[in-house]
Amino acid sequence: MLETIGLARSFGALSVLRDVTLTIAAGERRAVIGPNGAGKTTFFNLLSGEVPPSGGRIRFAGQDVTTKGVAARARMGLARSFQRNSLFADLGVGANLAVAVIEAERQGWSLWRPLNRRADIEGKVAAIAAQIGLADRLEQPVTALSYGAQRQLEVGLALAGRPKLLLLDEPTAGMSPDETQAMERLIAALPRSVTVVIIEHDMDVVFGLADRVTVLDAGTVLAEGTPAEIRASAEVRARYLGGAP
Amino acid sequence: MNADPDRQLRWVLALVLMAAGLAAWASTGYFGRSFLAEIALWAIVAMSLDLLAGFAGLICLGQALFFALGGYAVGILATQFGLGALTATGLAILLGLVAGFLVGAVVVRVGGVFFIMVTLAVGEMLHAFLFTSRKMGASDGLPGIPRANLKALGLNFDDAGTFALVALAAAFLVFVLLDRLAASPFGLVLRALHGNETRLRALGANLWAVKTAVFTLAAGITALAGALFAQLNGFVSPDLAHWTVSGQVLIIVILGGLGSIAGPALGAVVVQVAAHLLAKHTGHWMLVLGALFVAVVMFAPHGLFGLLKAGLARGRGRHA
Ligand SMILES: Nc1ncnc2c1ncn2[C@@H]1O[C@H](COP(=O)(O)OP(=O)(O)O)[C@@H](O)[C@H]1O
Ligand SMILES: [Mg+2]
Repeated sequence: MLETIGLARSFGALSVLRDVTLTIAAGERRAVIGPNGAGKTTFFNLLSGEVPPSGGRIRFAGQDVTTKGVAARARMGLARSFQRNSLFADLGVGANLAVAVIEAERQGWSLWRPLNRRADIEGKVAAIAAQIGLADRLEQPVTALSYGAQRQLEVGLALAGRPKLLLLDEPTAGMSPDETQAMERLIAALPRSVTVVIIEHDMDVVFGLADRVTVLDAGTVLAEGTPAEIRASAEVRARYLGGAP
Repeated sequence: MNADPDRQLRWVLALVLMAAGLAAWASTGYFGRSFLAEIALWAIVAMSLDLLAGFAGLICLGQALFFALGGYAVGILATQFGLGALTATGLAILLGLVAGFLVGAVVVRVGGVFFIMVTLAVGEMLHAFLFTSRKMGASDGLPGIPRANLKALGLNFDDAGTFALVALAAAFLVFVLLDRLAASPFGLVLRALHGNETRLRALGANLWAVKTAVFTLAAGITALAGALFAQLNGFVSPDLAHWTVSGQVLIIVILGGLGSIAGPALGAVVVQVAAHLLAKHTGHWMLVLGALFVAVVMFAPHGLFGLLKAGLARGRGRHA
């Protein structure tokens, strides 16, 4: 589904990612962990096309997408959530989701029939809203939502397009324990037709969801393996999981 | 889900404005009706700029370019190529769309304050050209522009009253068109574009195509207003392309309320009527207008439409 070969990115003299080579199978749940500043978000930015790589290649869904733009990759079925919420702040919750559905359904050039007579779009919005637990808040302005609920909407925008590949950048960051559990259940319930890559600091979430874990450290892949292998790895423990138990 | 919550109010305002226009038409003579026609044409320009500035967030300071283009197209085609003014009007709209596409395709690539500056510069280029071109009548402009022959519709376009009614009808049609557009999926995408380009792009939208499309459409509508303006006055001058025209229309839109369509139409009425009344008493009416503008921007950031909305909400709250 996704393959990176020798992926690299520097900002000026600062080399943020170096030689990241990995393969993620269709339907896999992959967690990417690593300390702050390891380059995880930059890795996502390269995958989604927001930041061009300084070297290496990216293959997605059987195509080399290294030089493709953000929108083109999105239309191929790559969706992401952002580490810092990126919502449409002056639209309501339902309208936020409607934008995502409209783009996913290629209805952005539908110019005449009013949206409130588009039962097809409304139905899909309602379904996503139910999935992310915001079904009864469609009419509310985004600014009326708690931070945790905004985080759910952030993930909802990425889900709305029924993507092939879903990149989630710290979806539970700043959430209460209850909200975190709800988010974990939501991700666990996604069909295996979606490949999920998740950047996450909460190790319970990581070990609960992931088939495989990649550890990024200082811009390189420090380790990769099943959750059990990563938990057992002395090196990862020393560098990241906080020493021996 | 109600993705376009202001739709009802903007219809109410549009219908009230139309009713007021018809009442004014019934109670005035030649000058009043010509003035009414002029207001309707400015309302068209303001609504088309609202599509750009209010919905898509593209603050264009070069709308006079397309206004003048529409006016000069009719002027040249009717006086020098012997085309009927009706055909010339159709071609003027077409020219506006083509020019809008060509200019838009380039300028929408620059963002923020640079977009404002580039649109301003492009407008000024046309002004400079019209001002110096002999063929275009230079600083004198083009006189003797005839009005469209609408006999087939049983209308005498040379009559001030008929012209005013057609201008009002054109303004209403533009409102209906833009209202539908605003309520459509495309309209929601425009507001999303305004709010957060990064996210919209990540959802798969081709921002260049969306921006170029609204720029093109707004240019075509503005060219229609310019074409009618040329016929209303019977002449065009380089003044039509001056950046102060673009500036005044932008003020009208902000005063009326960005993104409300009917609000900018109300803004056109207020500004034109105020200018008319003030010009009688003082040569400094622009100064008064400027002060009014500053007051609105400071105390009513959503313009007259926002005031109306807030007032209604308060009234409803009191009666609830
Ligand atoms: N646009 C940028 N310009 C300069 N430096 C950047 C940019 N984006 C990220 N960095 C730097 O790259 C490093 C990795 O950042 P990031 O990918 O956000 O890490 P993580 O998500 O793992 O915490 C940090 O040192 C950060 O300051
Ligand atoms: Mg990060």
